Amino acid sequence: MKADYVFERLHDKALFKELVNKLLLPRLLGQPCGLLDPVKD
Amino acid sequence: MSLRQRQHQKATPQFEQAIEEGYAPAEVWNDLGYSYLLDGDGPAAQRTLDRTLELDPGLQAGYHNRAMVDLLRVQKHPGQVPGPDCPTSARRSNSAPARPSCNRDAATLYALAGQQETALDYLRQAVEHGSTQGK
Repeated sequence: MKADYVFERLHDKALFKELVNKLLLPRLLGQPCGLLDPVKD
Repeated sequence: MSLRQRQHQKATPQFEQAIEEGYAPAEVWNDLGYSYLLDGDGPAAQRTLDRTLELDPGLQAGYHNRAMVDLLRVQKHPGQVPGPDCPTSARRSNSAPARPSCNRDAATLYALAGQQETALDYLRQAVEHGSTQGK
């Protein structure tokens, strides 16, 4: 399974750190927050 | 609305007043919590966002803002994991719909807390329960 292979690779600390910094953290920081603020600046 | 103009210091009392006068849907609580977050008042943001999620356990923005509170705490206190009350930990999945983005956010928080294995567990749940990209 592809997912199993990927998760096996992610036990590598350097690779995992890269995933967090380049994918997960930006997604968390980029989420919309204000609901009564529908107009995009 | 003041938040759009990034004038959250003006928005905060407006939201507080709206709630005090009885206009208190979850969306207003959420935006008040967001406003506290922008002010850097983590405890007030946490209380307000917890109330948001009590009122509407399905409110996506509330979960993300609550995750931001936990993110700030993890960044301020490295190694501290999200608490058992953390909505993003997916431990509330009994009372709230399971959502991939919550598991993804939890994975991020645990990763930042240095708990790689736990983070991977949550990431796997995010993948298994849906896409890691959307909501």
